[in-house]
Amino acid sequence: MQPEQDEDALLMARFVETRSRSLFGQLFQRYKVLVVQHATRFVKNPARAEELAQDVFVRVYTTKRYEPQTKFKTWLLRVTTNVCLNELRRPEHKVDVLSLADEPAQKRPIDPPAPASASPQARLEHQELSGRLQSALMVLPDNQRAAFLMARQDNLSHEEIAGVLSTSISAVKSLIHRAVTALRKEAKRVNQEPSPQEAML
Amino acid sequence: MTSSESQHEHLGPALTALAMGEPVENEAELRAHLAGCPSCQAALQDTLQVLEATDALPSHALSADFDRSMFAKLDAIDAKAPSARASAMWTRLRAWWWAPAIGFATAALALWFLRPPSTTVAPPQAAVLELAQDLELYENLEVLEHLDVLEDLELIDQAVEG
Repeated sequence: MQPEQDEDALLMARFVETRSRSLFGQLFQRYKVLVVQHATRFVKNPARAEELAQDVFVRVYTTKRYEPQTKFKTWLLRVTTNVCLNELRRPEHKVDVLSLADEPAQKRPIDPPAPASASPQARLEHQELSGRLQSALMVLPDNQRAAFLMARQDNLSHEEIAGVLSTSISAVKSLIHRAVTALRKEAKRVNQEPSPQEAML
Repeated sequence: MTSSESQHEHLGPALTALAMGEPVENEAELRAHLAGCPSCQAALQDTLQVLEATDALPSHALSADFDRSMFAKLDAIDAKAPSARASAMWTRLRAWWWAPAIGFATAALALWFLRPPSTTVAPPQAAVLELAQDLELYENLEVLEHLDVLEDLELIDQAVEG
């Protein structure tokens, strides 16, 4: 879809022209979840991620000129990425980076629910794997994690991801592959570890 | 990286793209290779397992007052810049009347400079009368000259008769 055919890009252009709170509200309701979700890919603290997402929307609200070169969604995620990367450059974020080996089990995020149809054993294994993968995701480099999740969760094309991250399509493919490779290694480590029942025996 | 892992990785990003359902160059060749390579089949299965697990990860739920606090920030912005909306309206107004105003001013100037010069036209009889008066003068002068000659002739005649 060309930018000039993108409905949301046209909506944004009309908002910049008219400064209508109603038009801004439409864009805000459509994209607030996506922007917060994207911010959480960079900033571990959910409350801070929401603050950064609001900063993004303040930037959108105060934009004086808008000439769409890409789809509105791509432009919005690029603004969000830049806001988050600026946040991560602040000194207090340097200590949050942990390696996979150093990640203690107690700091794992809450395990997601396993499929209801699975056996209890399978559900436990599924929860264990998902939890470990969630931790593994958070210690990936920011651009790898962002590229992988934009492709997987937001269904963005490689071209759109390249626009968000201001990089090339081949670089995006490489980022996604490296993220998946790292997650596969973690999954293999989990699968090779004895299960709690086996450990008890 | 172990030798078996390096074997698994020899398809590289293409294997990842295949697992994620993305377009891949030479897909037919890749699938033919997969059919005959247990290592790559295992790698593909590992990748699919990882993708399924990450798809199931919970997404962040917005806090209850996210919208309220967002619009409170926007209200504060609008309160600091009350003329922002006025200047936007002015910009819109100025945009539509500026062009016609320039056109009207140009037309008025053109009419002013192209107007015909104003002159008081004298009635034609005056010129003729003036000319006629000049001519009368000339004729009188001629007569006067002739009178002089006539007087001289008279004197000559008298002289001759005397």
